[in-house]
Amino acid sequence: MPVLYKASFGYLLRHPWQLGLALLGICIGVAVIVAVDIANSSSRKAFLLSMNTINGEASHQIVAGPGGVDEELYVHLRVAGGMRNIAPIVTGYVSVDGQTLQVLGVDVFAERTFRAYTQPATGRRSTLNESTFGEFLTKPGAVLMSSAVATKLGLAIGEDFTITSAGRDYPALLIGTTQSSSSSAALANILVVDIASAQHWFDKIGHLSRIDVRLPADQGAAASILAELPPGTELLSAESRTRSITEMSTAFMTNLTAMSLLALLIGTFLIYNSVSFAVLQRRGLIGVLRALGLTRRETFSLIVAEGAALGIVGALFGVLLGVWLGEQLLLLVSQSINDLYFRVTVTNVTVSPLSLLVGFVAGVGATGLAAMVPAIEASGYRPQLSLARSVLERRTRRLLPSIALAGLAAAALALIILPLSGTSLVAGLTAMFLLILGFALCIPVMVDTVSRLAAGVAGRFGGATARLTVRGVSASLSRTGVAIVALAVAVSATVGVSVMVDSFRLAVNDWIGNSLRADIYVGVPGGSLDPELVRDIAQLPGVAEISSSRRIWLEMPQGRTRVLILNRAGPGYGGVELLDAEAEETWRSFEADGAVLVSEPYAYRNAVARGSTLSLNTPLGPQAFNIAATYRSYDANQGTVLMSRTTYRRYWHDEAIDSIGVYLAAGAASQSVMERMREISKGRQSLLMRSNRELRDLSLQIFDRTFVITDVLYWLAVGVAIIGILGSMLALQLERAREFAILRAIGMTPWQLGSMVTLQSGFIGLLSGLAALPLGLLMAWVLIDVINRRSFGWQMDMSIAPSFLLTALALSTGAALMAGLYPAYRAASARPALAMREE
Amino acid sequence: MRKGLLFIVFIVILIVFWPYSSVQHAPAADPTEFVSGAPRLARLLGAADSEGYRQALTARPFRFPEDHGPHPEYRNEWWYVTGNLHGENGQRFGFELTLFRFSVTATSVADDSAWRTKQVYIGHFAITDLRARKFRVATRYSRGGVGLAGAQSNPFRVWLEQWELGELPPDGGVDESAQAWYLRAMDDDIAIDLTLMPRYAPVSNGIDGLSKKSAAPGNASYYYSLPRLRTTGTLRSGEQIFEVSGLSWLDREWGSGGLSLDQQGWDWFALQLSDGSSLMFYDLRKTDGTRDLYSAGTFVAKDGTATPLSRDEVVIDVLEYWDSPAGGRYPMGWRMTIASHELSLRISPILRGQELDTLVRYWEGAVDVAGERRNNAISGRGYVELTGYAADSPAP
Repeated sequence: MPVLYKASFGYLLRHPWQLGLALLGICIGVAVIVAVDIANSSSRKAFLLSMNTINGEASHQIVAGPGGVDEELYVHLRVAGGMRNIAPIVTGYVSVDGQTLQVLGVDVFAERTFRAYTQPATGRRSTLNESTFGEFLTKPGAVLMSSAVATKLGLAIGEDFTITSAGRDYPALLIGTTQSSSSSAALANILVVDIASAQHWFDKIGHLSRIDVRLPADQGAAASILAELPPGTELLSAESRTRSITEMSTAFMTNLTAMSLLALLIGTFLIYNSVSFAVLQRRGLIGVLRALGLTRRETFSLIVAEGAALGIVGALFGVLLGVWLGEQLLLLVSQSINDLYFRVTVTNVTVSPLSLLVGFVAGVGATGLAAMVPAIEASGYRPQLSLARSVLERRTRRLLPSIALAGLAAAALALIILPLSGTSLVAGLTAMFLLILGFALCIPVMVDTVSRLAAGVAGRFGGATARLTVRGVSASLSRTGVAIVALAVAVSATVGVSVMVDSFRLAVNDWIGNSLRADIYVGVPGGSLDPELVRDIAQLPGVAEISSSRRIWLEMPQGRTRVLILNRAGPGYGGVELLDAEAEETWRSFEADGAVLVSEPYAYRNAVARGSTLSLNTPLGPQAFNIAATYRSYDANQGTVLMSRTTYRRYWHDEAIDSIGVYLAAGAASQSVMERMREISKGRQSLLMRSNRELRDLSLQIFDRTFVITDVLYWLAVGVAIIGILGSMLALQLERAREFAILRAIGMTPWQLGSMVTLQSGFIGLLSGLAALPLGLLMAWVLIDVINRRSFGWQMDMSIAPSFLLTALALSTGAALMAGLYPAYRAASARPALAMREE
Repeated sequence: MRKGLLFIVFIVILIVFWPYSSVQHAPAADPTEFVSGAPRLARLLGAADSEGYRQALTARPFRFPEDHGPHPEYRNEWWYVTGNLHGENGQRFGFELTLFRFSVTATSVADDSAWRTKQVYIGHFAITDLRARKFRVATRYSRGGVGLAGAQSNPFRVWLEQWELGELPPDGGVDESAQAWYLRAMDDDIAIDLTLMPRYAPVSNGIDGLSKKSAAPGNASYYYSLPRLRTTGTLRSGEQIFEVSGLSWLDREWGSGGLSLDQQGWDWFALQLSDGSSLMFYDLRKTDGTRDLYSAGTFVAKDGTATPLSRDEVVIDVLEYWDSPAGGRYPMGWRMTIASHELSLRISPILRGQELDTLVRYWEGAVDVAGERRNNAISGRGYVELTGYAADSPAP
């Protein structure tokens, strides 16, 4: 038996190209899976770690609406209620030298059982006279930070610096660095201050961001706290609150994982290709071995073992490559998460053994499966002589209809799954893969038909060489078929994804254009505008109207809801596109009757629509709000509830304004108005001002940034497919060496032969491209109407730019032509006599 | 001086060792680094800078109820209640509740935020359950802002979260000649809820209330006591709740000074005798083992008349010693002779292990008194505080 393996090993070594390409295919497929998993899980872990560090030992949190929790509640719980395992927190983001840092405002006396790192390791002066503790407590702006942050900011203990919060500058003083022995990565962006400083910086005098609570496991304790809480205040488990924040990004990450599976799928085609070739080329040897007594089962296991060996080696390299690739992807992923969902700073790449194992097993498994088909085929060889190629091709052709039927069945199954699976994203993705698979299985039949038809045409115009070139594709379908399928699937992915992204971009562009009605938008980073400043801006010459908005999160045990509070300017709510209601009546009830609007994602996710009601947690307790309409929105969060300022005032005592839209008077220049605003805000609040144009560009920039990673992934898939074409052309050339030699012998010049091989490869590319177009459009449709909808609740029209289709054709043809060059060169430069000699 | 000063030590230690006092077991600080060559308590106390604070320099008449309330311009201040109680079936208990205010800086810290304050409150609460032979301790820390902890004089009230001492409304149905107080504290397995009735007006210690601790000016405090507070209420020890009654002792002291460097610690006695008289005496010990010149006390007659006791009037012999399992050897049984009052007393702890193992380790416990006065048998109860005996480092 070892002899057999030796033979097989020797064969692979004698065909390093075959071997190398097969390994590369597996390697890239596995690498992409591992990389995406590393990028996803590192982002998620970094976020969880920072949440856990910040939450410390807290099991629960008491939170309230936009203004935060009244500090009297904390005092009441501690002094009258005698609760000891609670700690007040005032938190927010500030910027120091352009870096965004999270501030944790704590009461050190309550901290001891919550967070170890709020204790400093090194103080300003370690003499007994002056004390870090006293300074921390009594000096406004006294800050503790990890020594890593201090180094990053270039601060020494005892040094003064300036922090900016909500556009206002405050003096700060580094009085000590915290213990950073544990979870130093998560502390990388945290400033610890006394709660009084934090209240000052975040304009939260009298209020807390939350109260951290440590509860014993039994529910009685939670119940007794709940009894003390005023309406609008909630006790939530810290874990579920963290979870509900991370869940926002789940759909995004699932989509990335799906993309990585696509890369593996294409990689699997490639493996199948390579292993089949290895089998086909040795059919003579296998026939002899069978004659010598090798059983079917032994043949089968020989081939599968060979595939598995390839799989193991390829997957090992893939895992290594994946770790490297993961680090590169991580930047893209965390950037998108920051843009869309929550702030996360990933300083550590988390490489979990599990994700490596999953990538490895997927690679080896895919190889095993891919080797199964040729193995079955090989074990079917008669023990005497090898099959003639023609026999083999005939057999393949006989199989074509059944393969196509299987494909149709897969597609049909997908079409059954889609309507039945409701809103399940995983089912949607499964259906998409089934559709791709089904379509892919139909491709060989199409290729066969097309190339037969084309051969006639080619023969009429290009003579025997042309006919030979074209017919050759279908004549060697057992080999070329798989390469065509792999390339077609890869190219279709580019078509599908480009069409989806392009449709999406158009829709978002329209939506932004429609939503952004004001001429200038004004806000402050991480805070609210000074109301007096807003009044002054409204009085500026050149300013006609002002609209205002406020964004809040309302937390309830079942999850968090984003509420956008709007105060319209004179021109009204033209910027909001209603989807299911008539404007006049909707806006009347929105203004006067306390009705709310919900964004399309919200409506989809919560299965509500015009006429239903939703419940929100208000300071007067949970209240039901009528939904007047659904409006179009492409926000990445799980949906938004739109409320009028009038309605908001009825329940919340919160006049804060996060941003305003400035409408210019006729003839006023936006530059000069911005200049005036800058002047009157000087010394009060430094404003973030953006013209309509700038804001629109910025939004699209963020959009584009989000899809950079998608681009990267599908180019990797195309790379895999091109390697596939190169591999099969090489193999084909090797296998047809005798055929080529005969052609040379009967007078074909090396140049003609080379052209024929190149063109044949190009024709394969063209066929793949043609097959890819309908598949790509199908994929785009599934992505837009199923995947995007189920992931984010968005709805958009599909728009097909002809240029994408042409690009796809050019891509596949061009790539295949390129891949044909080397095999053509080899074929042309082979010595016919040598090639014709029988063993 | 005495016991309250200990809390300056707590504060200083809190400040200095804050880095090491986290939840996780951070490496224990080696205090010898800071205190090598000098007695730790004195070193720490002497180090506490009193500059910028108001100083206790000259005697001043006490004014009530104002002086029951806080004196924030001084660095430190305490309300210190100890007492011996018994249950309906004669179960014997001792309790200690200290509320201590400490100002971390002399400069003003006005701010919009109610959390901003320079006042820190620390509380110690201990119950001695003789029958169960249990000594349980609880501590609390808080800032003196936002309502979490604080003190006021009218009506008098001092509180640290749930622990609270204050005056009862006048119509409480009690004796109208004196103001009744309430005292409440609780922890996981101990609690008290008591009413305190003074027998007479507050007694000034030292010279008209100015109690000097060393030769340095400002190393002094204003110091008054309410030595005999008739006490009733409830006490919880473990799972059980007892109706209790007995006698308590309140010490009030505020100032801005510390110990001098050659002072090692002190032994403080507060004894309530069966004939209605009471006495307080603190023995300041020097590093060389001798008694400090500034050791002093007060004898209070049954009617509340106070007589100062000088160092030389009071002779104390240690009869027994006790080795703490945590290290350190404490005197644990005394003979106190005060010839000027014809008193000879034997003082013994009701339980030996009444040691508080907090940031600073010290012993504070209920004691029994037996002896003679003018050849008549006399008995009594009281509290003794012993500091500067624990040699090792504070447990983080």
